[in-house]
Amino acid sequence: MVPGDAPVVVVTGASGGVGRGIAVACGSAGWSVWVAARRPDEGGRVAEEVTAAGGRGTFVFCDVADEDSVAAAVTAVVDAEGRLNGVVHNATSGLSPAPVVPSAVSMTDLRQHVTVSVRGSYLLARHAYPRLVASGGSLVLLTSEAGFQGSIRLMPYASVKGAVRGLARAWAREWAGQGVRVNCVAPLANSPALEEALAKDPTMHQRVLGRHPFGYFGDPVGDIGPVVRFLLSEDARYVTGATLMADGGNYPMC
Amino acid sequence: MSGASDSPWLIGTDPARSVVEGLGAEFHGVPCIVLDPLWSDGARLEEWRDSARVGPQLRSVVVALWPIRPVRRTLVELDLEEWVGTVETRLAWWFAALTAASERTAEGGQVVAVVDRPDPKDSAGWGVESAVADAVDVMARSLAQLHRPRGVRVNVVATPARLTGAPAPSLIGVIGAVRMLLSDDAEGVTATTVVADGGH
Repeated sequence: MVPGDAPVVVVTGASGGVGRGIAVACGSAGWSVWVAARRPDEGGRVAEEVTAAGGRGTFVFCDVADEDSVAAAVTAVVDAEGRLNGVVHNATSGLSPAPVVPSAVSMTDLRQHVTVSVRGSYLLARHAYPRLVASGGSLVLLTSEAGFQGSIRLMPYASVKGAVRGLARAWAREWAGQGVRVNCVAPLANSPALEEALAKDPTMHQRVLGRHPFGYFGDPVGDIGPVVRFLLSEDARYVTGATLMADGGNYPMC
Repeated sequence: MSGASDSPWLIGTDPARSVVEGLGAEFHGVPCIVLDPLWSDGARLEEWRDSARVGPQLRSVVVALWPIRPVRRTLVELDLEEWVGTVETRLAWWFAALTAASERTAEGGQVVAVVDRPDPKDSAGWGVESAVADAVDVMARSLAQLHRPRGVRVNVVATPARLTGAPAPSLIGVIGAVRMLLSDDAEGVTATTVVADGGH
């Protein structure tokens, strides 16, 4: 049974990978988690995992690049729960792990990266904003190490992850007066997207883990989810405009 | 780098003409393409990129895709059309221009992107500029890594100089930072962002 005052959060792209890890980690703290994704079967299974972990999981369809879809998802959550305490934008384009030659990237492909990561951040922020003001809530945007250091082969992905950091910094300053916090998390974790990227680029494993201090990728549920949960929680009430690197020290930012 | 033009090219929008003389650069304007939510004009932008990346090799290229008048606006003041016309359009333009500029640059040459960037403490209402600036930073780092084997350096000068209400240096100080990055004195500097903000 989820307590009546338990946080209510939405996690996009939560039908698998890092998003699933965030959802389950929030569920294990007894939170109500809305698994926002385009794949109802996979999303429904993650919602069941959230409930099994001790929270309350609910699937809600959401195409983050579509304004009507985002608005409907936020409305569905608030209609059912009466409030919204946190939003996590984790969804990225399915093209994220595909290596490219930068000068040959089509605008069609670049658009897909931009609309899912950057437009998605904007739409979620815009539609969740009044709800987060009402609850004194929190927005967490997922970025990446690539969003700091760039990437030769994944330049579109790296670029949009950089843009997301800029948005978080500005919105953190913009919304602090209304009691809403905005932060980023840069995870390095096992996920289907990472596995695909590793399969498509045989040099990537050595490049990424060759100098990694721990020598392994993080676990979405155990290593990444709790970091995001912290930023969503009251424990982080004085933290805003920050990026937490959940990458095992692979790209130290101290 | 024999055969490469020594006069820096400046690929930019009209407001960037203000720094052409200071850099001794040759101005190459970009066509006005503002995207809609479907990016219907994306193909035109792609055509521009594909034509810009071929031609004689260049020693130095400066990219300055500046909006005519940056306006401070909070998130809630931006509807989707404005969002696409500002953030998404600029991201697409910078991506196209920087990839083309890097390819046009001769072995041992350099690219410098000059981008509006608010001071972090003054970034409320400048979400559009913050997002674009951070993306440009990452694009430059990506391209610096890609073109390092050819000895091509790619750097960024980020400045709040053109943002209204921001305490900032004049464009003369910005030009100085660009000149430094274009010079041989900066031969060991690549994938770096110089913040020309007068110490703010």
